[in-house]
Amino acid sequence: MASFALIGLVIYTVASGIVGVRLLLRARRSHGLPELLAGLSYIGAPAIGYPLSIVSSQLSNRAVATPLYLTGETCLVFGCCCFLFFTVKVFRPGAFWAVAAAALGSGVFVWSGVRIIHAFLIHTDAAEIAAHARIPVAGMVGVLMLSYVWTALEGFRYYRMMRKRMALGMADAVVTNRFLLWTFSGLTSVAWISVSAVMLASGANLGTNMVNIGSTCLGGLANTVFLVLIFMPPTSYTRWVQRSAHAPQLATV
Amino acid sequence: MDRWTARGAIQLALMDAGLEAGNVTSSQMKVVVEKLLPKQLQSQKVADVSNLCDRIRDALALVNEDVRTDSPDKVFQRLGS
Repeated sequence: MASFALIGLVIYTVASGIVGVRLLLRARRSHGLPELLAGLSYIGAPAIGYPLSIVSSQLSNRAVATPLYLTGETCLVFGCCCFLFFTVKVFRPGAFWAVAAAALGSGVFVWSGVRIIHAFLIHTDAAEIAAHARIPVAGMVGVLMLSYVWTALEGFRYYRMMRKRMALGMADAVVTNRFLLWTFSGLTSVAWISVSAVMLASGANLGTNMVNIGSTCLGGLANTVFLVLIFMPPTSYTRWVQRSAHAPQLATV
Repeated sequence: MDRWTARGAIQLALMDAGLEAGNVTSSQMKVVVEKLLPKQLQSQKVADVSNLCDRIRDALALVNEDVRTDSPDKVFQRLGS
C-alpha cells in the first residue's frame, strides 16, 4: 500500500510540476493572469506543497523535517489560494461576491496553515501533532472541498453554455470538451478530499494514514489524466473530440 | 415594444445561444440576431420583426469588437494550446 501510494504521489507530483511550469511559461508569453494563477496553483500545491508536507511529516530527523514541513505547508496554502482566485478570474471576473468568497477561503487557508505549522513546531509526537492540528486541518479540508465544488459547478455551467454555442457554430468542440474535463477534474478532487474528511472525522492522521494517502494518490492519478487532456492534449485526442462533435453522446455529452 | 420587453427578448435569445450579456461580442450578437432573436420577437407578438432585426444588425455593424475581453472560453482555449 505504501509503495503504491508513493508511486501515485510521484506521478501526480511530476505531472503537476510539468503542467505548472508549462502554464508559467505560457503566462510569461501571454501576460495572462489566469495562466499565472493556474501555474502557481499546480506548482505550489500538488507539485511541491503536498508531497513535501507528507514526506517531511514522516521524517524522524527534526532538523531536516522542520524546514521541509514549513516550506511544504506554505507552498500548499499559497497554491490553494491561487486556485481560488483562478476560479474567480476565469469564471466570475468583476463579481464582488466571488472575490469576497475567494478572500474568505484564502483567509481560512492561511489561518489553517499557520495553526498546522504551529502544531508541528511545538510537538514532536505524530499523534500529538495530529490532535492539535485537527481543527485547522478540518478547516483546510472543508474549504478545499468547497473550492473544488465551486470550480466544478462553474465548469459544468460553462460547458452547457458552450454546447449551445456549438449548435450555432460559435464554439470549438475541443474547447467545449475542456470545460467538461475541468468539471470531471474538480469532481475527482471533491471525491478524494471527501475521503480525507471522513478519515479526519474518524480520528486518523491525514499525513500518515495510508487510506487517505492512497485515495489522494488514486485521485491524483485520475487528475493527472485530466490535466494532460486539458492543458497539453495529444493530437489524437483533439482529433477524436473534433470527429465526435457530431456525435454528442461520445465526446461532448 | 417597450424597453423591458426588448431587453427580455434579447436576454432570452442570449440564453438560448449560451451567451452572457456581460461578455458577448458583436460577432456573437450578430449570430443571435440572425438565428434566434426573430423567433423570440415573434413569440412576443412584436410587429415588423425583420425590420427591427435589420436595424439591430446595422447598429451592430458600428460596434467594434472588444478584443480585450478575457472570457472563460478564450482562457481555456489559451490554456490548452
